[in-house]
Amino acid sequence: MGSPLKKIMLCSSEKEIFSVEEQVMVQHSVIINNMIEDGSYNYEESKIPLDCVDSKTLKKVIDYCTYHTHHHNDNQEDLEAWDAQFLNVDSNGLYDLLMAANYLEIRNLLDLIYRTIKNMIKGKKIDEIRRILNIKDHGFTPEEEEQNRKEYPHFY
Amino acid sequence: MRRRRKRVCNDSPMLYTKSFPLMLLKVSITEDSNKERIQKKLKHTGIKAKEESTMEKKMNHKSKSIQDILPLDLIHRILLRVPVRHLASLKCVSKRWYSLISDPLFAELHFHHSPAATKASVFMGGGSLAYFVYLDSLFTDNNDALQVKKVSLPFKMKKLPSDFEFLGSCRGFVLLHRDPHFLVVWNPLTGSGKRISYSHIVSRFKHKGFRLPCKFHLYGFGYDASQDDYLVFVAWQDKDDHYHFDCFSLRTNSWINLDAALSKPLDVCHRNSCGLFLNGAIHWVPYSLTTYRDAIIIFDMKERTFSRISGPEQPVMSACTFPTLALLGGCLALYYCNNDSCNTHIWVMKEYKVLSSWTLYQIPCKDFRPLCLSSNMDIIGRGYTLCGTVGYFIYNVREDLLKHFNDRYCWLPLRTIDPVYTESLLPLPDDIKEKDKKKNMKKSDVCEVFIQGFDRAVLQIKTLLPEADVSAMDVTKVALNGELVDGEVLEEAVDENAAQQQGDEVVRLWRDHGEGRGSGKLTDFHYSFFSLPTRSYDPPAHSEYHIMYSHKVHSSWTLYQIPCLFFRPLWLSNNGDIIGEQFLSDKVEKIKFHIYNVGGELLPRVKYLCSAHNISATNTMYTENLLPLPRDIKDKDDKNMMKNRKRKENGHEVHHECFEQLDVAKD
Repeated sequence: MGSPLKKIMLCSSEKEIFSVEEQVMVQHSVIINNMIEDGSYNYEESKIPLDCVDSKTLKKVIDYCTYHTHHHNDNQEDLEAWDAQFLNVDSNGLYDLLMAANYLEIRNLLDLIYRTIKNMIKGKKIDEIRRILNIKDHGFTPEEEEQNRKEYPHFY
Repeated sequence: MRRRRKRVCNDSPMLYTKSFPLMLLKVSITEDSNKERIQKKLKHTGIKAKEESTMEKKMNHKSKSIQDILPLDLIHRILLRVPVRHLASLKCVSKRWYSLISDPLFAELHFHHSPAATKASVFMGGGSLAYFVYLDSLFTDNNDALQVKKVSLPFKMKKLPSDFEFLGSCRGFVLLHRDPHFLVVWNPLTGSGKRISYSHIVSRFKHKGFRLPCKFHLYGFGYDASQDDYLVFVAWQDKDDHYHFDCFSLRTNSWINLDAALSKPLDVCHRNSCGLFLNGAIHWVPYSLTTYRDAIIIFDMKERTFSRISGPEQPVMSACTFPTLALLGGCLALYYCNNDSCNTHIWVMKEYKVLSSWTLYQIPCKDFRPLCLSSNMDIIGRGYTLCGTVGYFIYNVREDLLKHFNDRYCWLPLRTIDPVYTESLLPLPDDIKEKDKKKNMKKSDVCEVFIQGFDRAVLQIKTLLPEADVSAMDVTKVALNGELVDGEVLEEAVDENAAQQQGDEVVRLWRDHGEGRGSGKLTDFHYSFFSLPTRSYDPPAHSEYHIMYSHKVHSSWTLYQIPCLFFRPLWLSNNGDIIGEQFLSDKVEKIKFHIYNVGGELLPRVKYLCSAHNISATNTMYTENLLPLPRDIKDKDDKNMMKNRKRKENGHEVHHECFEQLDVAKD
């Protein structure tokens, strides 16, 4: 358990360095928490390389963690409103965030994004889902696709 | 912090897979050279993310597809969160999604982890439609949510379908009963299902040609996790008022007799009551609660034993009518109408088998039937409105009515069973391996095969007993295989004639009128008559064989009992042991060969054999030899040879398969 004032360095895929309060990341990211706990992080020298996370995404992730660390006592509705605003990004931004959250194991953020994507596809027609998720190559042969359309016309 | 980590891990078992990147990450801090390895590992997604951020493409049509960016693992987790009823349509989104969702493992995970398990009340409406009323969405303000779904039963109906009845539900399957023909286990969402015939029970009610009403007292339907098997239980009383307890295993596709588990008679129930499945056991409550002590009957599906627990102590027994069990928020609940106060009392056992945890809730509504708890822990149920119609109600635990809806669909009286059903995509145990087989087997083929089976059986009876009047014979039918073929159940025939026409049942056993015996030849000098299992079903189930050791010497009749149902002796081994075949009563294509010694003990040589469909016919023993037919040498003409053979042997003794077929053609 690190002291709240300590800072840790995160390095994005563009080699941009972000300095974050240790407490913020430790509280949210299981991976970073584990690293700090078992002492493999050297405060003087180490930078945590996050090669699959670009600066823009990393900045958003840090925003999320910081906000939720400092506002965890806010009422639920305010938090939800903030989350909704936070995730108001295009689908690629959403996927990048999901990958980053998955990599850093930020449970709350993961849940939030899963839920968002779920709501994007829940109860929608298939053509709409394909458009939203931009699935062009669905992998069905034309015959299978036609069969499906014939069998479940109400899905499309 | 440690505590937090633990909690996180408990939330999702899949997180364990994440230790891998952690390891890599740790190493890379101390050793820079390892960095490349991580990069390589994450190259795929990393580069994409980079490109995206630099290009700043906001236009949707230029953005990447979800399938290209997200690994399957993450898509899998998103899909786990989608309510099960939307998953059926998501299968058609793409091939990858199709295989993800079709995976039985996914169905299992989804069933256990999906937070949005919707509960529905199911009942039969008019026609062959089943109604599913989604209880959660009924009381949410979201108007888009599907509230009522109508699903047609997977049967081709010829008669009025009103005699179908829902009995119970377990893990996304419902148990249907069509009195007095068969039971059906069915997953309405995936359409997979199985028909279960209980003709072996019905045949016990046949008395001198009349079929007595079959009295089932208790049903049960549950899942045995230790065997990954679904079990259907039936408790019934035979015509001598003896209690019996039978169980159908969907994995082995056979009935198992569990009379031995009945320590004392089920003094309980003279009404249909489907038990409540909870914690690997089925629970029933007696029709009238005379005492709280040991009021609830429990059958443990793994141990196959009965036990009892006490109900709540408080209820005034005289004022308590129609006690019924329900499952509320995962807890066992007992409810009944309190005649004194016109309230419905609901007792909830908050901790399983902890008697002090019985807690009382009173609902100010007569004949209220609690169905489930809402997400806010309010009690949802059905009952009568003030104007006398049936409706759905929601009460909070302080017993205030929050909302109610008139039930526009259900005109059934409140007393009929309407089980609470939770949707799932789970397959039946044998669905996976049977799938390919079913695909190949078309309905028409099946009918044809069955008809063949019946005709051949009759023909062989004629051959064996030329004087016998086949039409006067009481042919005991055993339903072939209570299985849905391509999602449809062939309608069960009511009488033999219909069976012949429709061919959905096959004659496996036959007997002389009244006597209940078949005859065969056990060795080349012994005649044997064996009585059929219908007469000797009492446990331990066995078949009786009388062997006449000396030909036409009546005093030489000797009785052997083989503790095996549907056993048909074929031959004596060199040691005098009895070799015979047993039909697995459900799988027509399988015969099991047994060898018993004369003491009736099973010797450890049992073989399964696949066989053609005509095993329903009487068995014929074939002894290999090189003997020619008398005119074989002179006459090479096949037809003449057959005629000659027929005349000589008169169909009595040794038949060869192909000879039989030619006989059929000739007739």
